[in-house]
Amino acid sequence: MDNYLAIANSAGMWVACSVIIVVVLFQAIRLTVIALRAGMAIGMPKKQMLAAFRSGITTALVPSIAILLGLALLIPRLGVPFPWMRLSVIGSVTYELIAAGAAANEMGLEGVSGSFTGTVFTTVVWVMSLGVIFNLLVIGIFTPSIKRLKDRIAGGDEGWMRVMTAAAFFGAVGYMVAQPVVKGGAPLVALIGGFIGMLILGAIIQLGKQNWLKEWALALAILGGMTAAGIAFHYFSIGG
Amino acid sequence: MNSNEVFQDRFIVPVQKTGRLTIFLAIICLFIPGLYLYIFQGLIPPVTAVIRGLIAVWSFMAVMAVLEPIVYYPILGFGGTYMSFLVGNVLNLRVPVSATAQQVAGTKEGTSEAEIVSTLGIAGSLIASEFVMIVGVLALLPFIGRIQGSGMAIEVALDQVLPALFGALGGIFLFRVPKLGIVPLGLGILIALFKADLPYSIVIPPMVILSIIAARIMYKRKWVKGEGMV
Repeated sequence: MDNYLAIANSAGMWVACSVIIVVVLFQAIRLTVIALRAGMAIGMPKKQMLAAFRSGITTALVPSIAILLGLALLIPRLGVPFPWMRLSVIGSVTYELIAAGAAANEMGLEGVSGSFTGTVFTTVVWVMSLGVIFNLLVIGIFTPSIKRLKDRIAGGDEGWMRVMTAAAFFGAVGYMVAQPVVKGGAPLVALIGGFIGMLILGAIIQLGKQNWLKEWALALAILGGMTAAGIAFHYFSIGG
Repeated sequence: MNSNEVFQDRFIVPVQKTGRLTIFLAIICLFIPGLYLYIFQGLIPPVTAVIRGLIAVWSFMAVMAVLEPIVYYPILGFGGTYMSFLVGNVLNLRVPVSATAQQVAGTKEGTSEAEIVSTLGIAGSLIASEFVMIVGVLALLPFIGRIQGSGMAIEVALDQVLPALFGALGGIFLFRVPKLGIVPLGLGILIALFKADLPYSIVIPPMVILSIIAARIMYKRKWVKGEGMV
């Protein structure tokens, strides 16, 4: 187990995972320059444009720190560089965990567990990476014609498109949510812990109007569920 | 040239060129970590496991890959769409960023000015996100050794990260869209009672389809609406 983590944290893995970050930064800087030049050409005041750029930076800072908490959840099983790359590019903690779980499941393991080996790790890496390839292909190919696509797909009914997106996601996780319920033990404790954690956080956000907490809620609730499982094992010997 | 042509020539054309190039570079970059593990560490994944894992993941990601850009394009704009879907965290981060930038700059949705403001705001947010991720990971590094391999209770807790996620997601569903969850969760429990260790590649694709069909029926009967969705 320690062996594969040494590979997962190796210098070469850092290099392999950093290349895409360079692409992201190149894209952001290049589009900033294009937008500034085009804005000047159509007579926008420089001040207005810089204000927009600055507001982007400040609005993103705190939510981005929240992403780090999600990173901390992935690191123990996947090493540092790969989750870092995944969450820096097309990432969300939810997707990464589900994809990692799906890959581990096909390797005959239960979830993202300590029984990982090098072979499991590389399978997880491939599935998590290629799992998002459609998203990039769609953006790379269809962005210029997106307005036309809208009418063709789902008849341009945006409400239905939102419902359908949510339904696809629920369909994907329905069985995974049900598994711990049926199996019991530590997974069930973690599930209930995460569920209750989210209800409490949701209540604080809605009733206490604490909107800043939104970014943190998912990672905190997950942490709550994991802590519940740890405590249940420590004091009541459930799971393990 | 009128101002529309200027905008087309100075903005739309170069953005598309850069956007396309960087997205395709990013697609190539997706293969690098796996190839590194294969070439330099000799780690070969079982091809069938990768394919089956991908079937499970793609069966819901493909739907979202097509629908999400369409839904968020009006807010993100042309340049913003290229950037937002490359870095992710679209709904929770890029959409509010674009909305805030419009507010700060005082532009109207659908105008050339709004397009430029959205692009600048989202570009700023991208740079901020990457900066936080780079600085943050450097700051986290010294503590990581301590998390790894530090006692049985922590090991048990770490193994339960997925069930904890599913519990948390259950909480979100209950808050936002309880009705949509009924069919997939009910079916999931039924299947799990029958057999609790089926491969996801077999379970997920039909579950996604059934969940969408159920949602369609509920939407047609106006039991669920498009607002407040994930």
